[in-house]
Amino acid sequence: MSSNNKVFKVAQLLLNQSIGENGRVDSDKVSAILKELRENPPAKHIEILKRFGFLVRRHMSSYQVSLEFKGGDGSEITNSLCRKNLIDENANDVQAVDCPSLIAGFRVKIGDDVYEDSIANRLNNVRKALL
Amino acid sequence: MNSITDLIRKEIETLSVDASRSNVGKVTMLADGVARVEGLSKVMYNEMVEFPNDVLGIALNLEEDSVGCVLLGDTSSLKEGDDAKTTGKLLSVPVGMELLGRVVDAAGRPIDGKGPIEAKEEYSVERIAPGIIPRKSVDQPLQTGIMAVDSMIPIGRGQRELIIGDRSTGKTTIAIDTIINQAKINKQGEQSGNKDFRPVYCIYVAVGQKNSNVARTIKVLEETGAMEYVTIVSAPAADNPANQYLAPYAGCAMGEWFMENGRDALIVYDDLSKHAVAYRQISLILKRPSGREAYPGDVFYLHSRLLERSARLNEDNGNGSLTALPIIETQMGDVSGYIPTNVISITDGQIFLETDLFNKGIRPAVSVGLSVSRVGSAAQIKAYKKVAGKVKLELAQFRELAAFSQFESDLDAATKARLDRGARIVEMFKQTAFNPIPVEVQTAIMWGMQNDFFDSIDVDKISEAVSSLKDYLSGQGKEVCNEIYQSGKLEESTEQNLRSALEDWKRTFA
Repeated sequence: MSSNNKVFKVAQLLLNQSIGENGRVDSDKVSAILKELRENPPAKHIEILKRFGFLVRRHMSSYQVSLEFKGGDGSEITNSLCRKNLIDENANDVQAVDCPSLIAGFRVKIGDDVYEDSIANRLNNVRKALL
Repeated sequence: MNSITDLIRKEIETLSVDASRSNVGKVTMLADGVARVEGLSKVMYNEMVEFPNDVLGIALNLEEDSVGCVLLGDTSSLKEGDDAKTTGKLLSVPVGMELLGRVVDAAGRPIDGKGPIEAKEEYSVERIAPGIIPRKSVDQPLQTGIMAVDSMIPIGRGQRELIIGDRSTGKTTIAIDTIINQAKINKQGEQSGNKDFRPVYCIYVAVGQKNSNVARTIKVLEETGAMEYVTIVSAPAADNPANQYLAPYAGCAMGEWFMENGRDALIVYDDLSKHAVAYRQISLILKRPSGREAYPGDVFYLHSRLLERSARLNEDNGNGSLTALPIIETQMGDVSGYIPTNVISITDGQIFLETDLFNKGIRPAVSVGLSVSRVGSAAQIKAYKKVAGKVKLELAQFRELAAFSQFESDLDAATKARLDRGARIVEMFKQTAFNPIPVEVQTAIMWGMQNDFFDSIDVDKISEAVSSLKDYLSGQGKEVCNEIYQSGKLEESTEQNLRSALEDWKRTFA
């Protein structure tokens, strides 16, 4: 097994250890793992930490929902998205932010997926079509 | 004013107003036209990825944590942390008759300042080559107008014939001559009103060339009136490697449109050595494992999947064809290099050009021994086959015996005759650039050589005699040439007419 693969495998194990019963990353568990690694640094310590950080970020983004909106009420939009099964309020952390650059409408980011229905996006489509 | 607002209104009406869905990522690294993007978890291989400021990229490396994208166009405005999003589309280029007479870049965008291209169709640049069932063996000639090629290394429609040689040996000239000859034949065919006539449309792909060279090529094609049948895809040396990598595939997609619509097309890849170098550059930046000469492991596939797309389709599939003339530049005449051997093994033959011959003034500098056409002889017209049958052998024997020519006094009569004939054939094959000769005129000249009409002329004056005969055949002797052109055969009556025409010419020349 190449050293890179070992780093990947160890980082994946650390991530598995960091996940709580609710399927989310548990900050206490992460702190404990980091403390342990600091006290007993393994070979390729930095690479493992970098990879671990990447995996934690990726896992957290899978349940964190960023909602940007302009016009209307954030909680109302969240409820409407829940009704359409786009997000699950129990499973997802929804962070709603008022975003004037959208002009009107909303943009939801779940992991790498972005759903957008805003005036800014429509105007951008018009611009591209006219170019 | 009203028309502008109407235009905008019309555009808005056609736009989708549903919520859009895309998959996004963040740029983590940028280098030499390549971006590494974190995210884009649902991107497809070869999918177009959109970056800020309307920069497009193509996802080439799909890895566990990131995606490697080659960037098209000006990347100077991009920076780390920029968003990248999927488009759900594979890279496509416009195709169709509207592209004829135009110069486009690797993405099919016009760069000749002649306005937008109103193409009705688009083809994906990466397409699967036709399989075995829709194909047919090569049986129609594609005349280059170069005597040395048409007689000894004939090319058929749907063939892949490599043009290989060192720098400045006339590789591009052979390709351009072939394009000019197609335009001449197309015009002649269109004027004749023959319903069965099938014009050959041409695509010239310039990869890693100097802009001045591309401009010169365009000028030559315009001056000779060939440009109306040609599309030029330009990815010059100043372009980023991604464009140089994509240009041949884009050109091939344009050629495939002709083939799939029952037409004949010719594509010139000038040149695939630079294409391989551009691909090596991209691969190294994408951190793909490198192999021999630092090329990636799939450099053979890079060219095989491109050249396999040239084919001759059967009647059930429209009877179209795409002929390819890839060009490879060798170093110090070494044909055993990595890329040359790859492309030699993929193609159906090669025209090898020698520096020594070129410097001796034998142009085109075709090496008879190293050049071959594996399928083209099946496509040669009967009249030509009859007169050109023995030429290659005679010339090869001459080259072999030429080393002994310094001991001329000790040679037997048969060897002397072979040397004499060989020297005359070499002179006959000398041809100036951008001056292709119609096949019927070539047939008549070759017939003259086979029937000893040039034997009494000094070797030094053979070129002059050929030129004089060419003029005669396009003037007074036009009738006999038309006879050959119409029938494609050398029947007894035609040969008699040819003999009397050549005797008449000989009197005027002497």
